[in-house]
Amino acid sequence: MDLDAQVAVVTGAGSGIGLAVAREFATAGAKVVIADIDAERARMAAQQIADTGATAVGLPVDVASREAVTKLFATVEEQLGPVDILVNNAGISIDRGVRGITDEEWKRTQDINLNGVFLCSQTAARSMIPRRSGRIINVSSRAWLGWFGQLSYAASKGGVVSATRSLAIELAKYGITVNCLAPGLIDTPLLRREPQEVMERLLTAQPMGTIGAPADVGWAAHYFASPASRSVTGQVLYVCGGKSLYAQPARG
Amino acid sequence: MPDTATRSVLVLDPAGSATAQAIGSHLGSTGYGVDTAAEVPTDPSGPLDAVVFEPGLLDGAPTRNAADQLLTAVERLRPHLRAQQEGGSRIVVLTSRDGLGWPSRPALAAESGALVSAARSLALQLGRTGTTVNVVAALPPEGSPLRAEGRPENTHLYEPEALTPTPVTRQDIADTVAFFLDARSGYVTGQVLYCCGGASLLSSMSV
Repeated sequence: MDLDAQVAVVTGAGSGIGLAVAREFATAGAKVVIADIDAERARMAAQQIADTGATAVGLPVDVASREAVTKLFATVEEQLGPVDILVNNAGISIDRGVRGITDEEWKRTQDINLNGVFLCSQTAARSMIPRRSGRIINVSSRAWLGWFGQLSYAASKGGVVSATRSLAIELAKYGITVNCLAPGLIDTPLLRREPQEVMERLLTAQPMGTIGAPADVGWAAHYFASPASRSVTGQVLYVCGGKSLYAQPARG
Repeated sequence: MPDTATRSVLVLDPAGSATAQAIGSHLGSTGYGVDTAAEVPTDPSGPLDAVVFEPGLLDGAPTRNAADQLLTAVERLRPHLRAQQEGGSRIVVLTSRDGLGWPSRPALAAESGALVSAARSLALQLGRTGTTVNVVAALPPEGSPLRAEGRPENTHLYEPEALTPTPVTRQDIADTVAFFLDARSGYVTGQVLYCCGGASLLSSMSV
């Protein structure tokens, strides 16, 4: 297994895409840390993975807090060893356009989606640099290209793309790659709450005519975490069924 | 990492390139059934799971109209690509990082850029058939004659190099191709992955 004994921290891994990434890594032999703001959800997700025979630990973290991030990495190092792979997946989406979004909503989105990437990446990089190896995978979104009603979310995810490129340039010489995943429509509990007519409209706009599974993103994360991608860094890979090529807006 | 049991791949290698040979060899060693051909076979054996188009740009082959070659090949092979209900198929196109622009190789850069545009259009065209189309844009790898060309004349530039500690090898390129070919990469289409150790990041066109 190509991630054998690697220590992988996945933030926001209590459910959805983060959980799928953690499962994929565990299947590939990694020791996974389910880091989530909801401690009970992290514990239960880790237990699910541990039940398959893999090593998995659930730990609470608020990625927007320097103190909480420092504590997370210290606990991981103590329990499993230094972090080899970091997946910055934790994020929120507040879908409001320019007329409605409040200062607090804007700030909260940037704090979690972008500042969280900075805090976790800096902490991980400080540990990876002396070991001259590591993988950082940031989860952005196809929405960073811009979309209706997603001003704060898109801006934060654009920041993640930019941070990925700067981190990749700075850390390349240490053998640390930094890449970015930009999921499009993915079948998560949040998406399933959409009404039927909305789902049909979303599907119509999909070039491949399908909606992706969290495991599709998990597999792409696995590639970026594996030795096979050692010469690939600073990239943004859209896992979106082609929607990044052209996102057809609704007419009328 | 590979999930390749009995999957068939056709490597189209019009230039007889060392990179195409390395890709075919790697895919064969990981369980693919590999056929390599300079031209599209008149009657490919069985349904194809994947096609790799490697026109030789990374090895400095004097290729012309590579995008036309790709479009013609896909048109001919389309009836032989595995259908969506059987898992769909994969097309991977090899181009050079030079597509971002390079002073001493403008023709090669143009060929690379055209291939990217063609691949993205094919991805949209074939999306509903379950065929993904993606691009690996690589730094000319270790051993490529392009790496020995030296500095472009009358410029401040030198041959792009990987920012990562090790040079880009043909094996690295083959590994990137293998990711796109994998059965689990079915929701990834129209993408360009630069296998260049970060050298693409220094161009605005790489975003």
